[in-house]
Amino acid sequence: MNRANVCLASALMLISAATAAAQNPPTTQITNEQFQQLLQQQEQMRREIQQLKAERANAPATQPAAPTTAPAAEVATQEDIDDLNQQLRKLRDQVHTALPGMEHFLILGDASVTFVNQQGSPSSFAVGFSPLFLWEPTDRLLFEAAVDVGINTDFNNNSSTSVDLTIADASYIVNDYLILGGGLFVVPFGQYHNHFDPPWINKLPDDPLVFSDGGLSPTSQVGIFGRGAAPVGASKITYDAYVTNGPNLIISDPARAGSLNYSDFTDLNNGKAVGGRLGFLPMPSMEFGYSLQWAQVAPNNFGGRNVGAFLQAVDFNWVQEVRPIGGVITARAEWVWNDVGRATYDPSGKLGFGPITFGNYRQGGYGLLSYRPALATNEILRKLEFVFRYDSLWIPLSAPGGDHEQRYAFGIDYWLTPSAVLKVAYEIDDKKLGPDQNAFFVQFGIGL
Amino acid sequence: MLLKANAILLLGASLMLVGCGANHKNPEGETAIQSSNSQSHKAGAQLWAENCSRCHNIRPPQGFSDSQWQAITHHMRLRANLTGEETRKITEFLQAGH
Repeated sequence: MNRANVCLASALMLISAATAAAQNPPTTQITNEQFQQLLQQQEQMRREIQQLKAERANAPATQPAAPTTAPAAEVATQEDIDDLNQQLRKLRDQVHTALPGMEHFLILGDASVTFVNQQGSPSSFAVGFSPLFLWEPTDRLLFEAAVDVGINTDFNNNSSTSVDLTIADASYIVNDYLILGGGLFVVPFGQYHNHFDPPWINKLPDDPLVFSDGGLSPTSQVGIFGRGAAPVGASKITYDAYVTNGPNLIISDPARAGSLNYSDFTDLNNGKAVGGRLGFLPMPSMEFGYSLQWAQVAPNNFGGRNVGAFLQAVDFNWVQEVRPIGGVITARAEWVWNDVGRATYDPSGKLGFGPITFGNYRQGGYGLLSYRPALATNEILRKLEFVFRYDSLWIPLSAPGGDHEQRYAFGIDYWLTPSAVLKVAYEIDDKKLGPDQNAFFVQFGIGL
Repeated sequence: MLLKANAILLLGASLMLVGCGANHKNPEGETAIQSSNSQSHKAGAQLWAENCSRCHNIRPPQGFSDSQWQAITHHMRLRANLTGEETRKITEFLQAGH
């Protein structure tokens, strides 16, 4: 090699070395131990990443999406969920009441299906449905309306359906102790019609004689009323007072002359019925009551004279849990007296059953006793209720349709819910004049 | 007729007495007679159990909405001769209980 070639080669090597030195940074010397540590750290980080990925993949199924920056204290508790549910319910109520005409408007009522096998009559099913409409436009004003929808069978076994208006009234709260109202309302005469006759409250399938059709107690009447209550220490006094059209005296029906018709809402004379009830509750579970009603009941042209009727009733209601016998005892009793003025019916004999005159004093009542083992450990036993009722109706034997009737009813109720009941009852009937009509009942009653 | 006249007089006098007794406005704007009695110390739950169960099985608060309970207790105030205070407490209990 000549000297010029050696110089050229040296120059090229220098240039190559300089170029290489300009392109690569200076390298750090790493020991084998450091390299192994780096490998371990890398492996640990890989595992952590895998673990985080796995947690993220599972997150939507187990936890709601929450901001990663949210503190742990903002995690929803069960209380928060309950609050939300309550707010949702209130919103639902608000939406419901916002619908036109739905502001405090409500349909309640009751229904029943009854099977009756009565001595002297074909066995039969009966049905009843009684919707109750409530409308409360303001806190003080309430409108009520109720109808009884049912099936009737007359003495010739002809059936028909019926829709009877039983309540159509408006009431206004004057103060804590007084409500005034008017319309067609359930007359507070005794307690039965006001409190106990719906099929999910009545503990037996039928009404006591004195409060049934042909009985001695007024039901609904047209007029005005005032009612209320006031506490007296630990006890309470309730009161009702009213003026209505009142009942009408039946004068031309040969089978019922002398009886009062409580289903005719019109008045046959200018005299109005005046009545009321005074109740006393010595303790919350017990109530005594006295009711009266005085009415002019004959048509204006009936023999040129007025005939008055004076109705009275006493009632008692006691419901008490008695721990020694493991249940609840209910004791109820009511007694009614009707004194209708003396009159001569069919005086000319044109109707074919007169002239007839009789003393028209009628009375009747019932006593009911029930026991429900509400404290029993057995669930089925807790839902049973055992009921006994005695009731009677005394109509003068000299009056059309007169008789002395007594009944003894035994029943077992099974409460499916607090407002749905299945009843089975047997009733022993004893009449002085007419044929006895023992009866077997099965009834399902429900409050809606 | 004398009995009838007396009955009407008694009815009118009773209503006037009760109506004139109102002399105090409560926070809800309803008029109330000022009186102290043990009834006023009872809670809504107790009044609900005592007054309802005297005639029928008590129905659970969950059965109706707030506005429905408002109308129902108004109806029962009329039917069962509840005082205004009893009605308010029972209504509040039923509305809070569902």
